[in-house]
Amino acid sequence: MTTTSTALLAITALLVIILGHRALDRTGLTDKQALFVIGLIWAGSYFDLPIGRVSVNIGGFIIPAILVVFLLAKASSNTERVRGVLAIVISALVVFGISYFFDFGPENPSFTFIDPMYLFGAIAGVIAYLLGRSRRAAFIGGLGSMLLLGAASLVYQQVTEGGPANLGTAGFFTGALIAGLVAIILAEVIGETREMIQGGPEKGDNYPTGLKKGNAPRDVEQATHAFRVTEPFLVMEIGDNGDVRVFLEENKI
Amino acid sequence: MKSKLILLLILLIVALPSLAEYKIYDLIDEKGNKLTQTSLELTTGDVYISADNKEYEVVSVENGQVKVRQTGVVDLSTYLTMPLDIQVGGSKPVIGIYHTHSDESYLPGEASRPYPGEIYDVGKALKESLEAEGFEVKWSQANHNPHDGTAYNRSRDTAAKLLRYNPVTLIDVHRDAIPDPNIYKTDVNGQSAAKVRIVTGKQNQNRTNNFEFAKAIKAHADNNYPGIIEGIFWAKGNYNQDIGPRTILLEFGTHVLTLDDALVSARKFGAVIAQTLPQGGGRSERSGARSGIFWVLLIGIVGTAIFLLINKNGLEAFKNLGERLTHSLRRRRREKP
Repeated sequence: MTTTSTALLAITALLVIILGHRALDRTGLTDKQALFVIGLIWAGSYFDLPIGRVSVNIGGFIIPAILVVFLLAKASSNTERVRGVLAIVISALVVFGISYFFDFGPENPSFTFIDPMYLFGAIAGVIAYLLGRSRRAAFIGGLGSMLLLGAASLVYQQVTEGGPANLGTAGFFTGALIAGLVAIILAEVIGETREMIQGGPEKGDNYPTGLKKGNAPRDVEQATHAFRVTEPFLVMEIGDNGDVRVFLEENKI
Repeated sequence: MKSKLILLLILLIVALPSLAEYKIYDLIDEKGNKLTQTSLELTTGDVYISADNKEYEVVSVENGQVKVRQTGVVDLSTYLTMPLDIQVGGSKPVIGIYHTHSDESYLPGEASRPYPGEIYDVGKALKESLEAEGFEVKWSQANHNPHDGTAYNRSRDTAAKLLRYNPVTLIDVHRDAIPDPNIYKTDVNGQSAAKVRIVTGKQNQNRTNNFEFAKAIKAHADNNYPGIIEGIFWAKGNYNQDIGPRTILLEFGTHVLTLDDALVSARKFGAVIAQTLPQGGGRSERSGARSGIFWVLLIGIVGTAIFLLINKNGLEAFKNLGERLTHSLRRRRREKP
């Protein structure tokens, strides 16, 4: 590989890392957590877990799958969790429907205006955003649906035909992670544009968590006080059992 | 919102089968001559280099016809005198081969078969011919079925896995689905054979390098086995060619030819690739990679600009960043003894 080709690869990788970090930042993870997850994916991409004749990559499948479960578990309410799971299942079904009719290869009719890898992410992201109304939901839906579809089609393949196979061995560049990235970027563009047009976030049940009174985490049932000091928010919460927590809310409006 | 979503899904399900109708496109030049056929969805600006090295650009696509205009004649002789400069590590250069469409097969049997399709026999023949030329070949027999839209997602994992061996090229071996055997039928040294079509995608940062590589292959193929290359498509699409430089897709004939036809070509192709990838100095790929760097950086800059524009606090955050930095610098200076 020539030096310039290596430089091209390095710049592309750097861009993906920056994008990945920004995307994870939008899911509610802190900067450090996001960087940690990226590091895990990167390091994990060098390790394959052999399951029968299938090589399952740690960074390209296992860590992203854990991340989806973690983000679902971290959701502030059961409604958000159900919406997340629904988004994953519905997005996976829609992507399956599209991929059933179009093979995106040069031998069959396909859309060529966009690479399927990005198209699937965009579709899954939009569906998840509509259902979950948040960047985090879009990311969970985009990534989760492609992981689910990848695993399901591989199980089907192994049961019906067998043969050696790979799952997530592209590591950081695996289709599911790119779909998650596209989903969150698209949700960011749609969300920000929508909010900019209507002059601020919509109030009601779907009010962004960062603006909710207290933005109560899972272990605090009811938040009583929240006051804005400066950006980021300083939030004080008093739980039912009298626990008092004060923390900085890092989510931007 | 939910009802709208359900309506959208129903519309999508109803519309998909009609959109996915199988189509064969004729490529027609300005004089009305039919150049070739393809089922590849072409769009304006896509490029086709014919067997006789004429370069055509797609002008319009309507009613199953792709109108093209000749933009010039490509002089491939320079690729013979000045080969590509490939920096090969180790004593034996590695080449990766895989098959995205694991079901592809040829007549007289089923054109699509359960894993492994006959395309794996073509891959094996190519592997052996490359090994005879001194390459170490990593041939992945991974299964990427079902043959649907997510097959490229699955083969992406295989392609990336092959990249771990630092191959000088990665080849995705296919066969086409054109029902007219005459488009691909040829003979090599008196033997019935299948022509090979090279497909390079434009939707990735390696587009220039891959197109250059395709032209170099054609130059050497024409020199050794005239007429073995059907043509080169440089069209929209990616086919996982973003994953590394010199990642190409080869169509060994079409399903209405026989496996034997495809095997003849595959056995000859090792020598063609070997001449295209000589060890040592030669034509630099730098310009292609530079253009890739330019595009990636441009996408990064434009993306950041859009992000800042749509984010209400985007620009302010940057301003604050500056202020915070100056503040912390000042504080440090004060803290210094």
